Amino acid sequence: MSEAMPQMLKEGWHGQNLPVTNVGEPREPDENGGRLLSTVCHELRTPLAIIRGYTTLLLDYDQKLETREKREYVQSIDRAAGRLADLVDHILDMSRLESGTLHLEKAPTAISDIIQEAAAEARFRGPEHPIRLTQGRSLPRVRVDAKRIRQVLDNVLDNAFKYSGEGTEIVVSAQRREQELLISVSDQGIGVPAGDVERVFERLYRVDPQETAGNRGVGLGLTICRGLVEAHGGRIWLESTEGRGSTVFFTLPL
Amino acid sequence: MQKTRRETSILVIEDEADIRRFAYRVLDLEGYNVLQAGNGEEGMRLARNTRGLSMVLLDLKLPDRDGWLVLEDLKRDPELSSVPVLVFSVSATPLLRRKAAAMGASGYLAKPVDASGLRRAIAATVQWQRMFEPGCPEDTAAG
Repeated sequence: MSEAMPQMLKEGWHGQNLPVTNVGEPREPDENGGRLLSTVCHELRTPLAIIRGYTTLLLDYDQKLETREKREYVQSIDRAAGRLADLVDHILDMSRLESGTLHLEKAPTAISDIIQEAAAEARFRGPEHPIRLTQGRSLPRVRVDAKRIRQVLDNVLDNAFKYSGEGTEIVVSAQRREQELLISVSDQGIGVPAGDVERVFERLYRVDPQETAGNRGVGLGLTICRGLVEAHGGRIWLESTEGRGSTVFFTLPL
Repeated sequence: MQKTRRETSILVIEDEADIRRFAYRVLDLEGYNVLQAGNGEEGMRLARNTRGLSMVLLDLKLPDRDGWLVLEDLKRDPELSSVPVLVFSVSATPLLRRKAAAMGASGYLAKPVDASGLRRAIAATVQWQRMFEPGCPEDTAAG
């Protein structure tokens, strides 16, 4: 048992009487490492539960299941494995950003190509949302790690999908502004409370879970986006009106 | 007269669709009558409307309300208070297990769980509930 473990937890382990009113979610050993680890472990267990559950369901009841049903269960396992892979990638990215070991492979890149590719794939992931592109004329090439900037765009677009109603338009914009490119993604979703606009880039931040029921995630996506944009020398921020929508802006220096 | 498995109604309250379907299918293949709810409100509605409900498998992380509150409501309802509740959660610290026990849960099943673990936990909970039913074999044995 770690010395950092709160006294209440130690008492619980030692089996002393514990009033029910004092028993809630376990307190975290420390705000930084402990909460992240706890949240990540929690999020890992859900896809693991799906993988383990369906694997043993298939093994134990093989003779009783039809081929179509088996295929559905394998698809569930595949989706859960994808969730696990995404989560592990997020943790690795977070770790590299925090330790300063993230390596960028920068090359002159046409940002409009990245935006168009991101929008095309986003239309496939979220066909219920029309996506409109507005780009300035002849955007200059910018020296970036195309894969990482695409990662930022994908993450911001996925957030726009998650937190806005079906059929609402998402606008992706890019324009030159003095010595930088300004890129933005706007949605007409639930927005973010005014007091939380600065906090959305903090790790583990989630919009009110009751309002975002069904939207899973650890709360690392925008933190990683900030790290990636800043590693390119840019800035990222959010403007939002609760109940009406949000716009994520980020810049890349020319 | 003891209920047959098909007469044994189990309510699964779980918001994660894939996990809910896994639990449903295993228990259905085992011959139980399984009801499903994806949130706390629907779960309470089904619990109140199902005559002779045998047990509830209850996830703690639900989209509309805290699973602990659902457990509290089940235990406060005079018609449902004797229905065993097996808590089903990814968080399974000793503290949480003790809290569930103190609130009247019959057991605590941690995720991930395999099909056999689920079968055993459900069978044990159903068996425990049968001990309180009239006509239980122990009644006869005790004379």
